[in-house]
Amino acid sequence: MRFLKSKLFLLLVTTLLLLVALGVTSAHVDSLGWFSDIFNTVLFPLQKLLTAAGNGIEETVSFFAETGTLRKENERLRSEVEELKKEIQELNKYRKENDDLKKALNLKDEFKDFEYVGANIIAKDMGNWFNVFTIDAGTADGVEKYNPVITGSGFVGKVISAGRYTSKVISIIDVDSAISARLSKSGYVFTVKGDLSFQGEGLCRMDITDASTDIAVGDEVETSGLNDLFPVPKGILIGSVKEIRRTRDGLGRYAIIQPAVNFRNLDKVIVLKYKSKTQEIME
Amino acid sequence: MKTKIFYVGICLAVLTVIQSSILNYIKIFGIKPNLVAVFVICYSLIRGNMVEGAATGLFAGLLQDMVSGKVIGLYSLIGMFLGLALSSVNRRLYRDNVIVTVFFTIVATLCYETLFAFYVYLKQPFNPVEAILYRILPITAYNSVVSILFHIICSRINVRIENSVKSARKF
Repeated sequence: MRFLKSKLFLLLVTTLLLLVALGVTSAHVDSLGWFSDIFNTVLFPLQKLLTAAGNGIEETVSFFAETGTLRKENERLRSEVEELKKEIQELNKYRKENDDLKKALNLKDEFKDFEYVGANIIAKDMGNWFNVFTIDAGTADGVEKYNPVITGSGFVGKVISAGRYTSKVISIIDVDSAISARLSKSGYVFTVKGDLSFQGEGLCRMDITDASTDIAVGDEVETSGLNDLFPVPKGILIGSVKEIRRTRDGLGRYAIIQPAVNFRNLDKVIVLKYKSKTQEIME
Repeated sequence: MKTKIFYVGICLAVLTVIQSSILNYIKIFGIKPNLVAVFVICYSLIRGNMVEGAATGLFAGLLQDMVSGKVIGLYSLIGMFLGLALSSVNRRLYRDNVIVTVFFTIVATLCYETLFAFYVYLKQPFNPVEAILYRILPITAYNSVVSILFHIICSRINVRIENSVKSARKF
């Protein structure tokens, strides 16, 4: 009886409870999801404010640092705009053609099933080992677990837990992340993983299992749409091959992928969520 | 008791928010110090009460788990034992000495980060030398610098707590 009241017993019980929580949450069970929501729901306005302040400071500093190069860049951009205008005209023509052909062939539009939810990043990872961040969109905005997260330039990651007003997103450079990808050029399918050695520079790793694979530096890598756990539309750009290296045993190769998204300056993302069935019927 | 919970709670909540938001803009070599862990270390060392140390570590860990944990319990478990271990260091021997705080911060951070490294290693093996040189050692260096500041803050909190305990006594 005295043992039940001792401090050691309390320590043992707490440790056991934490171990159980660890086991339950690592098995992707949602019953403890409410827990991580407490702090974020209460303090997310403050986090949002501080992150916005940090962004502002960084922008101001870089503004003064870049003033010298601005004029040159302005000229370059102007000529680029002219070129791009011409290109847009041409592309519009192609788009129309493409739409017509798709209709004729009855092709399914990959992005049609998804809706877009814009979100700001309000908190980044606390430690130095992982790369999980928090966004200010939650179930109230229709975000669900395993929804893919992108930006205008490419793939970012997926939602690992959705709270009421905030959600946690794991990025593709995290060591626990693995996503099915394919080479745009040849269509070979691989897995793009996060790797601790490259995480600091914002790079990921792609193991090349087949020795005969035709792959070169600069090849583009995109999502394959083959993930079973969470649906990702096919053809979202992940990044490009930066380097191809031999593994330490000398038998295999792996590629280092430079993601299209710059994870250092990331502040706004888009969550892709499924359209609900009723909406589909309405349309 | 109330004073204690108030001060520690406020400090930890503020540090958690700072660490998850604004600290990312002042990273050096892609690494940032772990303010919450350093607070737990300094506070446990100065208070020297095992229950208090473990509770502070547990609470700090729970906050970290809420904000950026992939699983719930990892930061809490490590945090609790961190607080417990440091508060069991005999306090009368090294009362309020900055050098002692810095020394224990270095030792504790090395253990703390090595545990995380081990956790990551089990999931996906990496080059240990690289991890030590580019992650664990820089984090340790930053933490030890931060610990000087936190030593001062925690000493002040300690004084306030002791004052409130004294004034609460009836005789």
